[in-house]
Amino acid sequence: MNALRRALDAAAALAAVGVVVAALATEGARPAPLAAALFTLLLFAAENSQIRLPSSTTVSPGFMMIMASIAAFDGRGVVLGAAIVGFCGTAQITLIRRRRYSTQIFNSCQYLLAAAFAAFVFDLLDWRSGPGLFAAAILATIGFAVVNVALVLPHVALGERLAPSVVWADMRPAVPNYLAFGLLGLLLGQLYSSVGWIVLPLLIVPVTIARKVFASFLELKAAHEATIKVFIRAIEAKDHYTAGHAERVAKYALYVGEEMSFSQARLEHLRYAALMHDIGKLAVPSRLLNKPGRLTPEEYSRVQRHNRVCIDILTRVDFMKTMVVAASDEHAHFERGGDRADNLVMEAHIVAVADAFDAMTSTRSYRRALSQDVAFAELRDKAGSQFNPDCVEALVGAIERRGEVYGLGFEEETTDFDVAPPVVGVGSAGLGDLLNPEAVQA
Amino acid sequence: MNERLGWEPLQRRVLAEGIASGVVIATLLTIFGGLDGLELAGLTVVTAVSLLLDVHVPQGGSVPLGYALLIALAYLLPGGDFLLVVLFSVLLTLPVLNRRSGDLGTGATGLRWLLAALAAGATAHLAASLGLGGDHNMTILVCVVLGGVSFLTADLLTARFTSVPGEERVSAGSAWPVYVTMLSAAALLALADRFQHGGNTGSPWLSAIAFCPLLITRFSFARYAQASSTYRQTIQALSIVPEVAGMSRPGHGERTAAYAASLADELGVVGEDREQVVTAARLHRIGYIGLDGEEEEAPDSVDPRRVARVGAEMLRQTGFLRPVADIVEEVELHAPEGGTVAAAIVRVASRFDDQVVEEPARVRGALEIISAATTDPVGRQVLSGLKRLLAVRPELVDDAIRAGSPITEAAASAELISR
Repeated sequence: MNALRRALDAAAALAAVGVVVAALATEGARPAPLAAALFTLLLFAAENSQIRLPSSTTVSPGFMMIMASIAAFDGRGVVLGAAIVGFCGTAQITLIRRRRYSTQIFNSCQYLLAAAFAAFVFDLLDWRSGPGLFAAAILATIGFAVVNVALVLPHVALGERLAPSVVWADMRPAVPNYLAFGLLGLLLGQLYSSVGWIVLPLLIVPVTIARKVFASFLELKAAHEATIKVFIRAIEAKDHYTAGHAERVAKYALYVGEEMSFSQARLEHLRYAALMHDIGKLAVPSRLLNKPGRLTPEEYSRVQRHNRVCIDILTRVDFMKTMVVAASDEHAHFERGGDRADNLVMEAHIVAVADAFDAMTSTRSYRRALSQDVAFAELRDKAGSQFNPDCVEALVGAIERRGEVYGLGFEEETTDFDVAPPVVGVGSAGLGDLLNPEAVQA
Repeated sequence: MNERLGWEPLQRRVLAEGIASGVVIATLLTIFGGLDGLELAGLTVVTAVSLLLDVHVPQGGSVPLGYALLIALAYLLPGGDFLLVVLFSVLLTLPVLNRRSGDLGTGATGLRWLLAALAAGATAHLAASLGLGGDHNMTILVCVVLGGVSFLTADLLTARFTSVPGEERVSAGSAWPVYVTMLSAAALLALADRFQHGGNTGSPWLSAIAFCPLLITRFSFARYAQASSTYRQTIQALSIVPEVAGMSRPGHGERTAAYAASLADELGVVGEDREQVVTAARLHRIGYIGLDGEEEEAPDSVDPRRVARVGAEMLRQTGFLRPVADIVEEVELHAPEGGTVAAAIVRVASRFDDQVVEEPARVRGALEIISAATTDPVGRQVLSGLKRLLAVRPELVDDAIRAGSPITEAAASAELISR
């Protein structure tokens, strides 16, 4: 593997030298040194202020500077100019500090090759007015992206010992950014050629502001996630028989959401709703949550009161509405809430199915985990009455396609019980059990 | 079709009115202005649409995207044409504005836009006639920036005098990144326009692309605003859990947050510090949900300092709410000499609510009780702030009670026992 990667690195370095020599030999004009220095500096600044996405992909407006230099050098040593900017501007302080020189050299070489290829495509097309200019910029951008991905993907796959598909999945979200930054770079380069340096701050300042806001957005999302997790831990501390329940319900809910082709934003909200579907438990005394056996009428009434007020209060919080509907037995129950065919009810149905599946495939104080087949059969049996049949089939299909097995013998987290739970019985998790009128002692 | 816009019959009517007005304006301009009139009509429609698109400001409120276009046009168009575009584009937006903010809000917003545009036009043309800025490109830049600054200043000043109840006001301090982006986009638009009209080989599409940085910024701000609102709502939802559990008086967190926000404003606590004070006010009794066993069964008997410690520990685990955790802990565990203003604000706000929630009329008695219990200089400083605030805003107590009423009403309807 390492030998292959070294060979790839060497090939990239040789190709980079070859491109520079060819450009020196074939291009008559030389790029303007001041512009080359300016765009190199800007690329350096961009590459050293990258934003890391949760998927571990990084986003930087670096390509905008490459495209700007291509537009600015147009007809005056464009391939050599883009190659110089690409090679010198990609020096990364962190890589040099950590003495990862080979990675740095490969990075600079692959950027040189991608930039030179983009410049070559732009130069070759020679469309310089109207939509043709944009077509040339778009094709140059595609050229850059193809060379960049073709070199980086095997380099990372070989170095990190990952399947190319995994690396591609990580890189893919960043690909559309090339197009946006490519068009902005074209504008920057054209205006730079015509107007001069004065346009640089006009374009760079807003992009820098946008970058800072985007970084704050990612930080805020991480804070949200961390806050929810702390409160989930608080729920699990009260009801220690449901360790990992919220996370698993969120995972199953996402499986269903993906099967139903939900948008990314809707999937995210579904995940939060699933993670927090048991928040009402925080308001229920641990004594009641962990009581082995049935509740007394007084206990049941207390739990129900808390649940009602929880739902009433949370309805007033926009984002929590999906969770509220999910927590409300009326709407999560397929038949009883069937007349409400809005989006919220679908989320509630998904969480209800995911919740029930996890409850059945986990060991609880009142019974041991059931096998996956029994849980599937139970879900299908209640599909159309208690559960939404589409959600049931989506969950079953998603789990079977992934080849995953849950339930008896396959539990990730197990709890030691003082009294071994019985082996029979089907039930939901947490408040669902408590709120079931059949569970109340007469 | 779209949940936020909700294409109800009324909105379809608004859309129809907008299209009809657009057609009438375009026809009039074309008849009287020929080909130039058609161009002006196009500009009018684009300006009107962009005035209805908002760029969110992180600390609340929004600025219309169309400001950038108006600032650029103030320099690019001759005075008369600019006035026509401004007048007609504001007219075009009226049906939608009316739907959004009623008669009063529509009038105020329309007036604000007109005055700001007039200020921008006058300044840009004055600067151009004086030849400020030296060479041609620098002149464009200077004129657009001066016009833009006049526009934004006039907008902020007019907004101050024509504020509409319920409308979120934008402060220059929090909106500066949006304003800088607007000015940059306007200058880029003007430069791109001059570039393509100067016989260059550039494409007319460049003007459209000049809007890209602004659109990228708008996207970033919108996502941030959405995430921020979601996070705030999550915190709000979590803060009421001890109240739902009957461990704290229903609505106490929201009321304390309302008092704390006003106190922070009174004492000059701004920006992120203010946000932290308000969040700490909401979450200062969150420690109750971390109690277990006997303590959970009898929360009244638990030492408030222990509740504060448990709550602070929970918040610290998030990694992000550490400053809030420090305030929550310090509310009950403060040094005899007082500690921070932030913790003192939450402490005074919380105690004041405990005193007045049952009897809103006994403000004076409540202040005397808190005064007797507050011996530290920081606490006294905050208490003085509260007294000043109540003297000029006696409705503060009613406002705070209203803020907590959704929770108190819900609790009452469920006959929840409060402590």
